[in-house]
Amino acid sequence: MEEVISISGLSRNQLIEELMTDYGQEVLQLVYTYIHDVALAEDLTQEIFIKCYKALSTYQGNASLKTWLWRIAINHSKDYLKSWYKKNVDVTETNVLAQTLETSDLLEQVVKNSEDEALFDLVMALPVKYRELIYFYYFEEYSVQEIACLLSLNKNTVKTRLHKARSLLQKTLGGNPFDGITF
Amino acid sequence: MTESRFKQAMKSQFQKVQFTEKHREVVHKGIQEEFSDQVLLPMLQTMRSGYELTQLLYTKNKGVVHFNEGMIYAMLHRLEQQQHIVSEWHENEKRYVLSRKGIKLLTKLNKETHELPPSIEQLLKEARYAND
Repeated sequence: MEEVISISGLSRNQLIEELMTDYGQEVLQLVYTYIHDVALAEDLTQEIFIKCYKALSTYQGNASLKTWLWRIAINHSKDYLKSWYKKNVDVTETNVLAQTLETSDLLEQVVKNSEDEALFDLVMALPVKYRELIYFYYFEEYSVQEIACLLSLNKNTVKTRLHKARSLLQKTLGGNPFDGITF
Repeated sequence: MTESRFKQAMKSQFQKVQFTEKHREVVHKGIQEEFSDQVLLPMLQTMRSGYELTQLLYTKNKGVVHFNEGMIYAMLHRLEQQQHIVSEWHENEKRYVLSRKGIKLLTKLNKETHELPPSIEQLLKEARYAND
């Protein structure tokens, strides 16, 4: 995430084109990690690029363009989750998902579904604050430092949450899905 | 299970989502609307023709704006349909200017952009999420 692109002289229009070519798929996957619904994730991704266009005039160049785009995507997804939960769910998200993790139904489903899907669903069932860390650390392979910067978190908070996320998954799977990997 | 096994599983599931041309099209449309609100509306505080607008955009913002004349006319058409601008004919040339509704919208948009500098807004947002 080191590259810094100068936007002077480049049209905002053209830049959005390039961002969509380079990162469209990745942004969509990132949003899908937050919002486990294909159609919704697609809508939000489109909104994110339009938002970027709007925000480009105020882009300061103090973060790399990719980091900047990722922050917009993360914030937009979380804003959506917040308004959605406010509207539709009475209990806090953590409680709902903690219950989901404990339900034996899910475990039965794990056996039924293909292994890939099951693992993915398990990650999806984690509370957002753990899920995003699993995504960035194990899938995107960002460093703890990079994640801390991206999510505006303390490095130790990132480590603690990663640890908690792994033990949550471990508990459900009855084994560590990330054998031998430490940070 | 190893890490690569995990990545593989994630990758196979991410195939359920694909960023396609269809999505790009929606973004293009959204961008055009943003552009006409952000750039065209302020320029139409003075009565201008489509040709004049295109020329102004080209000379003033060379390299910053890359919309062709056809797109400008499409945007003007949309703004007119929304009744944000009105038009009249002057010597075989259609000229456009903000309507009352357009002036209201422009005032509203200006207010929004000047309410909070984006950097502070961003900081507040990040602070909010840091506490999650």
